Amino acid sequence: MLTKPVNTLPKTQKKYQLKLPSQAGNLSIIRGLVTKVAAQVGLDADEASKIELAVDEACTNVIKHAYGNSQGQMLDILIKVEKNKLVIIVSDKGKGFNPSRVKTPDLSESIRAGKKGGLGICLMKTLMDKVDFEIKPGLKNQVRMIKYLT
Amino acid sequence: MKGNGKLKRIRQNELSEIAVLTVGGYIEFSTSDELDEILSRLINAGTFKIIIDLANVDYISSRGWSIFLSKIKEIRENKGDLKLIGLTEDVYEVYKVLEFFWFMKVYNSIDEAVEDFDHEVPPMPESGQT
Repeated sequence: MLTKPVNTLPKTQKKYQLKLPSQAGNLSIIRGLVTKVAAQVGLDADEASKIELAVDEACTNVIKHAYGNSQGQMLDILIKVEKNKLVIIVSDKGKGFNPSRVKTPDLSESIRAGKKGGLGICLMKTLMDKVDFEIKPGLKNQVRMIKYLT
Repeated sequence: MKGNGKLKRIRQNELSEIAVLTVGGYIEFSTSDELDEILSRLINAGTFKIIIDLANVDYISSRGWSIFLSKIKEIRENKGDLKLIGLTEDVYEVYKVLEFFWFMKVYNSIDEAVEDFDHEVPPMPESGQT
């Protein structure tokens, strides 16, 4: 009797985790890790740079919005290298938001209002292959970003 | 320099009424306030023709781009413009992703940008256009 071949490769091949104080000064450390992992999985500098920027945006949102720039909070970054994708999860325990209310930025409206901000999530979604959110304010909010490895 | 020390330098040259800001390093959350302050100072001093040289900028986060966005209205209302030169490939990629080409032009050199101040500025995007 023939049996189906079993994929012996574990789903997650490598994992990297960083827990850092939620401070803007730590963004460069996070970017550094992302760049190294991206290079390890064979992504070119251009792709690595896009992932770096997306992760920076997610972490900036945590520092600025979830924790309101308050010190003493933690930022949690988990990078998983899976068989055909790179998964990056940024978690916090701060103030959440309703992802369904995040609109595509209207540049003309931002210009008229002299508004700063509102471009970050749009950038994340454009730079990564998939972005989703799980929001449980005060408990755990997370943004999961995926880049497929071809 | 405050921030993570990667925004190396912002210097300002005055070519008569045109200011050229040369920026270096990373423009992100911790360093973008300085760019914001310098642009505000220029505008408050009545300089509305501004060229930003990004040749030494490795990276601009959404915060950095949104500073340009927040200044452009006042600059245009005063018959000025904000022009970008020297974008690296990575920075240009984000410029395209964010569709900033609707209201900000990029140039190959300072001379090209200076010369273009004599021409009409790009129209502001219509509402709903991103």
